[in-house]
Amino acid sequence: MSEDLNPARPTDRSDDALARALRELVEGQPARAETPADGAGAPAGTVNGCPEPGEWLRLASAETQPADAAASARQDALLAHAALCRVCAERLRLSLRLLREEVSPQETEEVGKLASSSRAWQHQLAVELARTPRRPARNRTQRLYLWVGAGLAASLAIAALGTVAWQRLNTPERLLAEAYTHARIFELRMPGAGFAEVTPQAHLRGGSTGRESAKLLDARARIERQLENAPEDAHWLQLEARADVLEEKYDPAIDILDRLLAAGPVTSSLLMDDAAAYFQRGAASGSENDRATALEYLRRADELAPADTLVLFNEAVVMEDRGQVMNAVETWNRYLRFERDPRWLAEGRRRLAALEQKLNQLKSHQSRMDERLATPQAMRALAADSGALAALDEELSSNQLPKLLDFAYPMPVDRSRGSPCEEKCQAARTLLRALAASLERNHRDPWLSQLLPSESSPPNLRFFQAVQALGQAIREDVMGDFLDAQKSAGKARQLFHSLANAAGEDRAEVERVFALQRSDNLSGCYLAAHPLLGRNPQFAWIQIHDLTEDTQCDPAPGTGAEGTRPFSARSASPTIATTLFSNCGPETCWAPRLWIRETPKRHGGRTFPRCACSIPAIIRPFGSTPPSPDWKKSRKAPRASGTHFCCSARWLGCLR
Amino acid sequence: MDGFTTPVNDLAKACAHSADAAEWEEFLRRCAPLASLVALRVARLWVSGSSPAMVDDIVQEVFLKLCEQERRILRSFEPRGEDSFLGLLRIVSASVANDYFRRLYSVKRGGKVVTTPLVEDVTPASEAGSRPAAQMQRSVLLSQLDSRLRSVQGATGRRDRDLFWLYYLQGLTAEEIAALPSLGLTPKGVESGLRRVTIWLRGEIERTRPEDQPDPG
Repeated sequence: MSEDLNPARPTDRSDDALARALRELVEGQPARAETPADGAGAPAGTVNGCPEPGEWLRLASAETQPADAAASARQDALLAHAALCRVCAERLRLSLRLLREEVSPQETEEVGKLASSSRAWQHQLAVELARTPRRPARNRTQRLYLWVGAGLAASLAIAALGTVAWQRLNTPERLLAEAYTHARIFELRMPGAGFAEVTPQAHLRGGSTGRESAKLLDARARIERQLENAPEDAHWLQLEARADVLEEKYDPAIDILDRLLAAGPVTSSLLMDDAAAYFQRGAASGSENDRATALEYLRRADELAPADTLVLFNEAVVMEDRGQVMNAVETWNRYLRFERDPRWLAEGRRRLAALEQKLNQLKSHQSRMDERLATPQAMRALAADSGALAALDEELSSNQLPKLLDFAYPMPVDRSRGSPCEEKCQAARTLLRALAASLERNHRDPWLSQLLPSESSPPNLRFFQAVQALGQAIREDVMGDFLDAQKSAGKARQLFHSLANAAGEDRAEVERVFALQRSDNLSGCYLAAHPLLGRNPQFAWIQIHDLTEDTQCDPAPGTGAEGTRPFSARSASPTIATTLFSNCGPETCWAPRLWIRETPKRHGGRTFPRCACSIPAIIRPFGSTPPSPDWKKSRKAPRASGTHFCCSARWLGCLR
Repeated sequence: MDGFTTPVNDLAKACAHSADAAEWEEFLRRCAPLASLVALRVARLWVSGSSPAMVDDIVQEVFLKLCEQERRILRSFEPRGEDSFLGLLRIVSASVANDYFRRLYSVKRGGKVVTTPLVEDVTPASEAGSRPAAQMQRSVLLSQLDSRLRSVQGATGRRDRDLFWLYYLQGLTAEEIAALPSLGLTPKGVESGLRRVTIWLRGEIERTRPEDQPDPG
């Protein structure tokens, strides 16, 4: 409203009148006197411009302030209207009273007079209402059944889930992996197994401790049950073979896995399991062929699954074992790119670091050794330095012997007249004599002294030929050319025999024995090795090596208790045994003489003398485990334990 | 079920599924007076003199409403305190009664319900056309007061104007005004607002009084 709408507006004394009107309004409140009393009805109908009565009811019964602006504006407009409209203000008042609990006496009287308050009216309506459509009530029993049913269903679901989870957590594969992790008895990894340090077996291979892992036994039982139903199931057969490997039953494991591979399909998993069985059998028996087969299988598995960390790990370990240092380094590097388990990763890094360190040592050592033999002056200087010679005499008399013999006794150009010994030749002979003295002095080993001709009598042509043939045989054995090595060694033996040089003859013969054994000519090997036993016990290292080969090639191995030949032979040779064991010790370490027996390893045209920094072949059956102190009591067959090859723990210490 | 001791909430829940007339009769005995009271009050809103038959019709409609859709209201009722069903019944009764009168007036007008537009510009002088001169002059003065109140801008100013006229002109009590949810005030808050607007209005009248005029007193 505006003042323009009021043309009758008083102009005189308007402010006084306004103040008076306000005072009357506030103090006298005449407007209230006009307010209808409680119970009086509102004006009927709707005044022009007034909202319908229901609007006031909604305004009064609204629970909260409106959320949206439009509703808020509507309420504000209603209030503003009621503020100046008597009719609507009364409706608003009535609406506000409508929901109140207080009841006026007049209202009580009015309600009492209503027909709806009578019993008859209520009874009639009650009958009608009772007939109205309804939904049957769920009684308590029904509810109870519902709840019990729901509970049972939930329990069954939980039980089913639990069973599935339990079965997944306890599959034979998982149990085998856990058994491996519980006692990791070999270096190669098994599928699904967590990290564990290698722990040596407390029992002898093939023997039962009666304390096998419960998980392994459980897995074995389940596998057997499955195989009863499906004896040709490839999956369960593979798991059985895996269990066999864990129980060190390599032969049945290899039988199964070879059969599965032949039947196909060839998988990386099968190849890896078979490789593990071959490698472990090779490690236990000393079989080069088994370990070579293991590497071949792992290479095939690597081709099928180039990013499989288990394949890479096992391949690197076997390569390391096979002396393939460069290949092993490359494989370890590939492995480290893919492995995610931090503990397996740490083992890979540790092994790679050790290998690289070994490689560096080898390279620097080889380099230094080459320098020592590079010039006549260097050879003379070495011969004159007894201390330096003592540190190198083992290697010079084994690895470097063919080269030294070549330098000292080259084949004459004119065989009828002989060739004059040049400066290099003289220096090499000087070094050989100094070396022989060093061996006798430091190792009580007269072999080289007895091999070399005396200074007073120059060697004849036959000696030159014998020495060259021996050097050739050694080189051929090192290179893996065993058939040629047999011929060269046989020729050297005959030549030395004609010269009555026992040292040369025995050395050549043991070289031939080695070549025969490597050619899998076990009967020939045994026929050659056995007569050599005890023939010249003063050549102790030759006797040790011969005994090794004799035992390896013996067609009827057995235990000492059974009185089989290897032990009988050793028992019948107290001199040998005495020599062996009396010579054992750091100062009389024979091992380096035997290092060169390993198969040569070629990498990109380069050859590494793998044995220079590793445990020699003859103690390979021990693995990295020192022999038990009571090895003598065990009397185990060599192929079973190999312990009788070792003379003492001190010897191992010397080797390392 | 012992109707005299059973809480009305339980009675309502029982009737949601019951076909027992006695149970319903007890339910009606306890609830019909409240439904009648609400119907009576709503009737007063709409008509000056409501007939008892009209109220009885409304009460019957209220209970039939409770039984619609297989007694949906009773089935879905969840007690929220002692006798909370009576609160629900009060709301249902008001709604049914309101709908009853809307329907009634809609029929009288020829069908469709027509909500008349809200005219805000009602003034204290709008009803002055047929009144004596003194009353007319008073209306003019009230219009002047209203124009002073309207000069205050903002939501608070509008609210204070409503408070002022609802209280001093229409005679609503502070408690009644505070019961309006849209204001969001307590009775104390209403009184405080009234005091503030009155003082302001007095000051405004004093401020505009010409200085040469003597104070009347």
